[in-house]
Amino acid sequence: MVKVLIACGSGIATSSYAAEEILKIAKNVGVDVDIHKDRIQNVSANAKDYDVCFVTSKYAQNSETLIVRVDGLISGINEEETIKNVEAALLEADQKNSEK
Amino acid sequence: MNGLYVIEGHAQNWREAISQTAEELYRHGCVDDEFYEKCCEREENYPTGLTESCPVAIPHASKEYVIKQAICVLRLAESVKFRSMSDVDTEIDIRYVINLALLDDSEHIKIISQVITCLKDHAFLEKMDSLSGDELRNFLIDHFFKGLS
Repeated sequence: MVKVLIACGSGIATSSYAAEEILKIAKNVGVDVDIHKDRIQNVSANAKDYDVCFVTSKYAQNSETLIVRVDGLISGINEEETIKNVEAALLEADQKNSEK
Repeated sequence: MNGLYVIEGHAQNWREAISQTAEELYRHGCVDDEFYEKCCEREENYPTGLTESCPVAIPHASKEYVIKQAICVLRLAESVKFRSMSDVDTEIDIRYVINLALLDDSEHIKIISQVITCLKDHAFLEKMDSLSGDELRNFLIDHFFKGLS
């Protein structure tokens, strides 16, 4: 089970959409996920409790947890590349968990 | 029950555009008097302009300021600049402001998902451009609230 945090500015709109999409991607690659949503401003404090974080806006990486931008899922720009990045991040986190 | 309001007009800048949508939502009792400020605050920190090819911004605020779930669409006669969600240093010419007053229930996920899926389709935007205000309202209700009561 990979613990996933999805964050956007309000923690309600774009993160909800991204959560749906990421759930689909996780199913496709066969990774079980536990998804939580939050506001971006809480990411730096809460990221440590998750295996991977996805954000829908620009975010300065200042956490040991892998943080991946997913605004492409919403705008449709570079959507395929974004999906690949999400797949890679989920698989990497899943691999790390299985080694624990 | 979800409301959808369509307004048309002019705005000098993004704040004024958001203000018009927030006022319409407030007039219908969908949001409280802090909603407008909270939308602006959010827009400053996390802009919601989509893309050049999809000249739409989707401002919103968190559910604390929402009374009844609703969407207000402002069609602008002339575009105004919003910053881009993907690249906050870039400004995009926006022609539609879709203010999402959402509550955090299972329905809102379906609504936002349908809104975003529709907007990614270029033909959908062309259709929006071709419709009158009343037609646009019905068209958007059919698509954004599809499958909802």
